[in-house]
Amino acid sequence: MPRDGMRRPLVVQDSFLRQIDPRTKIALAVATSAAAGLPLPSLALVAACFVGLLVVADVARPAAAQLWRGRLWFAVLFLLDWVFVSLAFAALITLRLALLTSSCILIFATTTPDELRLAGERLGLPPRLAFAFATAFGSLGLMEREWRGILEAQQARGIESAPARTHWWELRGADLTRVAALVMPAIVLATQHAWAISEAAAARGFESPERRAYRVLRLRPVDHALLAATALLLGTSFLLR
Amino acid sequence: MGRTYFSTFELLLLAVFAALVVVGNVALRLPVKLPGHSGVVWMALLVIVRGMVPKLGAASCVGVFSGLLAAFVGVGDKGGLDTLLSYTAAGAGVDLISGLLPSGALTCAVAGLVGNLAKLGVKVLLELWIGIPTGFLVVGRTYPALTHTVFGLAGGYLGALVLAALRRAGFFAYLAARR
Amino acid sequence: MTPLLEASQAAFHYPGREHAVGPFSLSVHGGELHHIRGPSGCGKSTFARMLAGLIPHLYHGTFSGAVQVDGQRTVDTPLWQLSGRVGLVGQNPAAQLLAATVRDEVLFGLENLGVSRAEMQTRLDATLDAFGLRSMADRDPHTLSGGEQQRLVLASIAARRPQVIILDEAFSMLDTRAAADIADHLQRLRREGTALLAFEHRLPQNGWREDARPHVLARAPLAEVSLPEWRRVAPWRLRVRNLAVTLGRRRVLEDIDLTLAGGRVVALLGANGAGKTTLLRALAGLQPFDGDIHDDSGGRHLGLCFQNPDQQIFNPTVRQEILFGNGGIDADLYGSALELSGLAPYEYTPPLLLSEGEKKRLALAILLTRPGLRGLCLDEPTLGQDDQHRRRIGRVVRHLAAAGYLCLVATHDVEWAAEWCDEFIRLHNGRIAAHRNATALRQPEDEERCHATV
Repeated sequence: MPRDGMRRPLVVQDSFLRQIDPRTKIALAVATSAAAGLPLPSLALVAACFVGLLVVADVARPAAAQLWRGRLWFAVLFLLDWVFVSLAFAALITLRLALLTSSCILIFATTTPDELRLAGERLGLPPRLAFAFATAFGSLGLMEREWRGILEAQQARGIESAPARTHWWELRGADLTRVAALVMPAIVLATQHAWAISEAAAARGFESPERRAYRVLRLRPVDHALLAATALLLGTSFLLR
Repeated sequence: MGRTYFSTFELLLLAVFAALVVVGNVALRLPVKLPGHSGVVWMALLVIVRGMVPKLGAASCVGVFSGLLAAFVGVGDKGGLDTLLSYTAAGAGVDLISGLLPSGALTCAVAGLVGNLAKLGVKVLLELWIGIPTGFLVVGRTYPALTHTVFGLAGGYLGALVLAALRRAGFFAYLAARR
Repeated sequence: MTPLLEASQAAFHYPGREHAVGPFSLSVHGGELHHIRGPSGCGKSTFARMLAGLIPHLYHGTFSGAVQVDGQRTVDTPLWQLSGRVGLVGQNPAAQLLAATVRDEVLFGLENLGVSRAEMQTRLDATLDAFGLRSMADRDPHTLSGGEQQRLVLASIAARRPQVIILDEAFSMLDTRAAADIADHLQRLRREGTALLAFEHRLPQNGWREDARPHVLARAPLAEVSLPEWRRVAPWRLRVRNLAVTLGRRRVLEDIDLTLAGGRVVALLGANGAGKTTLLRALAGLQPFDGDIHDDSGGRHLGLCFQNPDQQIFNPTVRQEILFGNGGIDADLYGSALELSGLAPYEYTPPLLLSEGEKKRLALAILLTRPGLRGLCLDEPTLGQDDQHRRRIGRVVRHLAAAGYLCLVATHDVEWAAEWCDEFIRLHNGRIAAHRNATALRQPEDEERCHATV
């Protein structure tokens, strides 16, 4: 299971990015991802600024953890590029991959799903879709608990959660039946849950054309400053490439 | 208020299924260490939800939602962007084939195949974009492409079997009563 | 005076079903309390949904007759408008939670009203204070207790100031204290002019039963059938010593010492969170524990009947569901299990189409066919059941006990426990607070009865 289970995002509460509008962070992540296509000198400049932002925003640790998980892939790629092309090329590709891998940490480590939902609405996403996303996230913990309940209930009937066989060629039709015994209750429970949410939402006036959001996101001077700085850096990098 | 493409129930069903996809990807892994093996359960769930909500875009919605969820909880080794795009592509692949071909077990299997390959395809495209030599990709991704094909087919077919079982178990009568 | 809510021969025909549900008629004015009861499957939830407008807006089918809210027909009025005047509180609090925090849960309904932000703030503050939710405003609703969750759901609906609140078995999953708390808040709303419609098998005790206008949705009662002969098991005892269970960082059970004998029906009582379900799971071998559980018949012969049968169902028919994994079961045992659970008429029915009560009986039938079974653990078997089905469950456990089975029943239903159980164990904060003969529950003023679920 991912760390922290599936109930809460791994949000760094102390980061100054918590005060930044989620739309600004989305723009920063998009810009960082786009910069991954730059040549080495410009790329290094952008990467240095990005790392600086991560450090100042106190999200360097989750970014490092994210990169660490892909370390084998980074190592193999670097070696192959160095051996078959050149060291400079290896550095370029690895740096691009590192930037691409860590670009979205700005969003996911400093934004709650609810804040992302608000940003989506502000960007024009229909409230129904935004609510659906929030429901998806809110259902993670429930689905995990239901899943454990299903495993336990079926184990009580003698249906094991994992086959004794460990090689793919040993898998049998009985294993498909086992999977069906676990998947079908999960589907039924997921559907019942979705229906219960639909009724509860309808009972509280969901889809009212008169709906007015309580919270409204507004870009503040710090957001404008960050966006301007990003545009300047990216623009300069692309011009100088 | 005018009719919407997805009813609220359908939209919420897709959302809850997205959570199920993320949970299933972590919890229901087959004990095989081959690339793409998660596609058996993953594609099965996508095919199933596409069968339950037989509208173009249903599996894509599940893909987008589940991609965001997976990125939030830290699933995947190559960052949030790769996770989001992979999950989205898987859903879009299933949607595309389900929309083009007539319904049936074969279509489900092919949808699973295309969805699982689409997931791999996104990774290849990202790797091409950052400049990894094509030769490396051909050598490094041929074997995963084969395993993704096999597991995608298996997952799609499993989805078809489960849909048939749900139909026999009266589940679609439950759905039919609800808007 | 125009009724706030009026139903005239309202009926609904679900697609594919043989008969329509209804017709029903009812007239509701401000401040009234109506108690609508009837046997399971008679259409209470359908009627509740018709009155709330969910039928026909959210359900396919044929609606006949009329339901009017403030003189406007529900079929002609958008649901979002109806929900501003009629609120609905369902049975399962957790299934009605829509937001990430308690505050946002209350705001969800207020945002849909279209009032100004200042008005939203005023109502939010008033609601949080009136329902005692201020201190938990930033908490995730899923971390609240069942009673707190139901209080939150009620608050979210009450913030919209509906004229009528419908309760669809809203008390059935709550312990006595939580139910009394919700009842108090509802009485306050009623004094402010809100009408209440309670679709419940039983009402809470604090003044509700005297005030309510009763309505019965009648259906021909089931004939009480004789139960089939059940194979006897040899006498046996279950000894539990120093049992303790820790979940995460919380010590859920501690110092549990028990000796239980086959042939007895034992009620497990206590408030939500006291550890009843955990104890049942530990005894059934599904929960790791510290301490010792010794079954002198050798091995483990207690099975747990899961509270949510949907976690197990996946076969096309009831017959296949019972027989799954029990290839060696003999026809007599299968037939007896089918009869005992009252599912013989549904042998070839898809399990997903059974009612909730029938699914619970299916879970029981699945358990009864398990080889070597000598005892059952039942978790809230009477939840949401009408008097007839509660009685049947009581007869079944007594019948099994007569055959030598040990039947452990976790329940909030003290009345049922008093009638059908031999002894009871009361848990409080994970420890045994009392273990006595069930006659102590049958005295109305007895302290044990008053505290049985606290």
